[in-house]
Amino acid sequence: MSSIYLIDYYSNNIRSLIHQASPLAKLIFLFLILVSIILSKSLSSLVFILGIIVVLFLIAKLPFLKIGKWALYPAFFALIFALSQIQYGLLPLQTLLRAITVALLVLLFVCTTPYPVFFSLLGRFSRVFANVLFMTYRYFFLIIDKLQTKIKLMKIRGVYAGGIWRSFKNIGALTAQLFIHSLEKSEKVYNLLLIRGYQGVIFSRISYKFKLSDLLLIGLGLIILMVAITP
Amino acid sequence: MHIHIPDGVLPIWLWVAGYLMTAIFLAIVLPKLKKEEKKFPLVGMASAIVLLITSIPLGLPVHLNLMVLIGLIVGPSWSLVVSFIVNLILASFGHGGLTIVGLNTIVFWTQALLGILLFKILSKLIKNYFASAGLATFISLLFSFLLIVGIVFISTVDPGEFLHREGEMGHLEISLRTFIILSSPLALLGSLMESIIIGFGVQYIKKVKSELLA
Repeated sequence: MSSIYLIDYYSNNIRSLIHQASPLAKLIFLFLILVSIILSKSLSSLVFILGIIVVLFLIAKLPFLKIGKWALYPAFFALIFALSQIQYGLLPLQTLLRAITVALLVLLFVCTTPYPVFFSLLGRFSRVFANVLFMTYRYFFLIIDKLQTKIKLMKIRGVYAGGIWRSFKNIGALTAQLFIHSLEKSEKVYNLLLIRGYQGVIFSRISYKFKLSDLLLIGLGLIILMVAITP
Repeated sequence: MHIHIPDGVLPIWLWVAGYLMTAIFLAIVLPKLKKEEKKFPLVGMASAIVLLITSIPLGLPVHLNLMVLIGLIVGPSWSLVVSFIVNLILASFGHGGLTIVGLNTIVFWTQALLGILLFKILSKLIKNYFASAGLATFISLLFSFLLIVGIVFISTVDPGEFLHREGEMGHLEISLRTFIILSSPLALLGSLMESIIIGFGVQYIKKVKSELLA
């Protein structure tokens, strides 16, 4: 839960070269490196890409060890897959390394690009997406507080007392309450938005012009791609 | 339940097909949903709840999805939007691969669609909302697990190609058997827990605010 809080904090409060780069340039860089990781056929090129990402984390002034721990979650699931490939030499290791490297790459992107900026890029494809993504982002932080308060109250009232069946019943009721609360809140929010002149459109002012540093970032992505696909 | 396969494992054609299918379905439903502005805040909140609940591991690396409940609340078309948004944001912090967002959207949406259909049928047959919602969720989740196994089955990853040793590696597929053995206990446990919780959740909503269920 706290990971999204911290991602939001890192993307909005740290100032670095990568934070200041154009979101579109970062998205192109992410795409190029993702393709490199997918097409890379050797362990050494994956290690090379991982090394570059670690360096970029340092340039972005992000706490690598703290964020790196989050990449272990996808690594666990990759382990299931890696174990299924255990008879194929180094392939399980490549699978694990791919999972960790992509997770770190995406984390680098979101920790240096505020979610609303990322969403406004996606929102260019659809008005529905732009609206729902912004509202999801906004409500996430409201609901997280609501949920934490409710969990505390439930614990005080002995949520786990009465056996596992009772616990499930309480969790089910808690989930239902969250949705009921959301319905009531969403009606209020919609009326408030209408008062403020909302017409189903969310505007953003993001520059899509590239600076020299943006072109350098894209250039780095292209070099990595060439290294990765060269046999 | 959704796919936790890391990027670069599934063949490109498969995850591209997942994105294409998602894009086609979205292209069909989005123009219709554009007119339902009043539902934007509710869908935003529903997505935020799923995002939050999905990010909480229940001890083991098992988490709830709530897609059946989402389907019952926001309906079939909006549940596609929720599925895509949740999987995209989850992938943005390393939960599920970025390349498989399309396939995961289909898996999530299948749960919602099947859940809606089964709940409609079962609630008429069994006059107990806990049992009908629980059973609908359990069957939907098991079906989506089979869908995931099916995706792994058709993926036929070729390790020999990765290692430049075509023809030397013998059997060229991921061991589906090992994958099923490792993932099915987690899938069964997760499905059972989610079914009970959704059963109680639907029962509660029916008692307190039945108009919430679409």
